[in-house]
Amino acid sequence: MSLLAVEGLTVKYGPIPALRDVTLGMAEGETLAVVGANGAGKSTLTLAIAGAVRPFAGRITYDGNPLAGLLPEEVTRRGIALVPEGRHIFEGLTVEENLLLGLTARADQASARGALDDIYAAFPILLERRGGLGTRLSGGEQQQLAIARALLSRPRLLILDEPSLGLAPIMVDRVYAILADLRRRGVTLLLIEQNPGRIGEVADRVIVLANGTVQLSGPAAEVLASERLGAAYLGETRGAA
Amino acid sequence: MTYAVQTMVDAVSVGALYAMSALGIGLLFGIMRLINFAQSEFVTVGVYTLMLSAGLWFPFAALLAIVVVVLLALAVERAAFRPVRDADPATLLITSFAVSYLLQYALVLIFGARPIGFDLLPQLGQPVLIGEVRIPRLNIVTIVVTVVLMAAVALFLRRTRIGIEMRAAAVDFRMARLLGVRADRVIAVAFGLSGLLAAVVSVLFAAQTGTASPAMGLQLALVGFVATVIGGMGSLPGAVLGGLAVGAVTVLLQAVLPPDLRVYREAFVYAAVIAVLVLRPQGLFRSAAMRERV
Repeated sequence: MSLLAVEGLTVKYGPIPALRDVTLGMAEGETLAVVGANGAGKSTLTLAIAGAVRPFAGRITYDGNPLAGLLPEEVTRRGIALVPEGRHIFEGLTVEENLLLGLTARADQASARGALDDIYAAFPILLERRGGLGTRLSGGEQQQLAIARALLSRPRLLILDEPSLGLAPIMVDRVYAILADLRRRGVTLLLIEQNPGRIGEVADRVIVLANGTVQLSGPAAEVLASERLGAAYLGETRGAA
Repeated sequence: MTYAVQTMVDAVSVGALYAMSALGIGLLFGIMRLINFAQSEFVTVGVYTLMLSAGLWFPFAALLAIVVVVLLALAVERAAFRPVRDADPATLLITSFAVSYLLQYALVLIFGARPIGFDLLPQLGQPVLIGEVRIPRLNIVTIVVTVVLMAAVALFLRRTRIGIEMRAAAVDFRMARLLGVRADRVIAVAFGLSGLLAAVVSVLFAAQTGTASPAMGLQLALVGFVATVIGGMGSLPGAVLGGLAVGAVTVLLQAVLPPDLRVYREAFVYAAVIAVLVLRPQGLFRSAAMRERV
């Protein structure tokens, strides 16, 4: 059974549709990459799943239950964590305070301290900078903080919106190493990227989004090798790879 | 010299009162983009509660005022603001005007529009002599209470889990919710806290003015709002510093302006505010506030 099922999802900002009739499914443990140009509707998709924007039409089902009408904080408590585009590190809060907020959605607060220690072990730079302001970190460190913060809620489904955007190549390597590790540990990943360059390293399947609709979808190797990939980016094709 | 010291103490004490008003408004603005003009009625209702409980043992009367105003703030959040929470800021602002007028005219209906005099702790009016400087006790009490309360609020915001959630919500409410921070809870706590601040302001303000009148909170709310703007909207330390600055400037102008210009004191204060907005639209303390953290 699929962990996440999106059926006929349409989202509008005022009269303008950002997503039109998008359908996709994710199996537990799978990594799905959604790629597309700026304005294709990728971020809207992540926000709709996370409960932060209301769908105009369609259904989102998670673990067999519809997510319709749930507040973002309730969606998070069910095990979906979103690392939004731009990282959104809280201004004025220390690295550790940012991380503590990641524990908010956990059901068992008793294990929280241990979880924080585990995260510090996995992200040594955050331990080193725990008392400093989160916004003072470099872009790559902030991205690590954003991912670590999301992981502290112990998500079954982790959604990452453009985690490599604006990062130096060495930091992109680090981020993708983290993603590969999460994938190995069985976390279901929904990865959004504008540039398909690196997604082949982690993605099982790829969906190309343009103008708010699915243009191309299939196994990662096929989609990324497809000669229709470029056209799909521009919204000039539709169908399977 | 004595005059200068007295003026300084006066400036700090007025600034302290404004700082607390500004923090009450800044808390709500930061989290829900609400400019809560009903904050003025929170103060006014506190003053009327004190007026009604005049003659009771003072700590009890003060506690009663705090309980009444905090409950009022929570009730207002539940009944008036929760239904329109996701509306745009203009709707929230209009709602806050409606609540403000409703409360104000409810007070007029019950107590009449005329000011009612009462004496809250007459001892506070007597000055303390420090060397040659005569300082009203009330000023000292105001400063001490403000420092203690601000320190307590800062500790609450820094050391408690809900405090950290509130600071996060104030800078990026959507992200906070995406991490599981419950909107209902942080907003209720923010209203409760702004009610507490309004109640403490009402005690100090009532001791200062010795009257209760239905529109008396307006000036404080207005100054509080201005202070959050010049402090940098959304920054809590900015709101506090903004309140201190507006209060201090008001008192200093009173002291240095030639007598025939003193009646225009507010005009000078607001001219200074406009100047700040033109020169530093992001607020006076925005960057400083980012470094300092509450």
